[in-house]
Amino acid sequence: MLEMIEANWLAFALALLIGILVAVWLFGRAARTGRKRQHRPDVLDEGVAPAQRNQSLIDAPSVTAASFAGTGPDIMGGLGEIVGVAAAEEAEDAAPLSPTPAPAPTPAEAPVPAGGDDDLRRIKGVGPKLAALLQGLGVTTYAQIAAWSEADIDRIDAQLGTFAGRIRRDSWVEQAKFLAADDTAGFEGKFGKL
Amino acid sequence: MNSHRLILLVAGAFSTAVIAFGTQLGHPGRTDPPLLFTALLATYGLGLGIGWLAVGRMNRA
Repeated sequence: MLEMIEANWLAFALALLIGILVAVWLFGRAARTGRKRQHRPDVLDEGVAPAQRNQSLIDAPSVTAASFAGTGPDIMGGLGEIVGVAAAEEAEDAAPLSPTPAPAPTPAEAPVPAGGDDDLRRIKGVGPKLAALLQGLGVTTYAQIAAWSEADIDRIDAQLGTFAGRIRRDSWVEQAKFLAADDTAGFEGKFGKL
Repeated sequence: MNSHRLILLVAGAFSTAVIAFGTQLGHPGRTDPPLLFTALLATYGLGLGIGWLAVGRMNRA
């Protein structure tokens, strides 16, 4: 055994060193984290009296109290008035904004036929979303669209959001005139099969 | 014992085994391999014990 250690002393020394290092790392760290500090020394423990400078600050009357000393009890009432006036002004400023916005003007001056709503999706370029949007704007018949003036088109176009420009691009008014007149042949001749 | 401590212990033992393997490769036939492995691992354990004692003594001081 001794011969083996003598022959491989470097390996044994290394193994011993590794063992010691691992133990120091393990137990030393655990001891450091587990240790609790029981005594927290302070300068006052050493017999030092509280600094006079700090004590004078503690004993001094409050600066805030001194500032309001001569104002009397009315000061809070005055603040309340200022706050009340400011709130009233703010409420007045906000008042014009509070009423609900006027409903979107119905663009069609043309009378709504007694037959009910038309299927606006028959107009080329009008899908379900646009049809719903138009219905929301009060446009439900071909006659309404056929009666649109340039000003009406601009007004409606401004409310179509991402569909803006479709009215003129797809010639809705022209299409609607054919559809309102039930002129399917004329419609198909110009705009393709219905 | 939490996992990182266990990993450290095993890593130490593994390094010792690597040293034993290297020694065996460097001087083949000089010693019995299982005996060398065992002796080196025992030395590693001895090192652990010595370290533990040393740390305990340091903490008490």
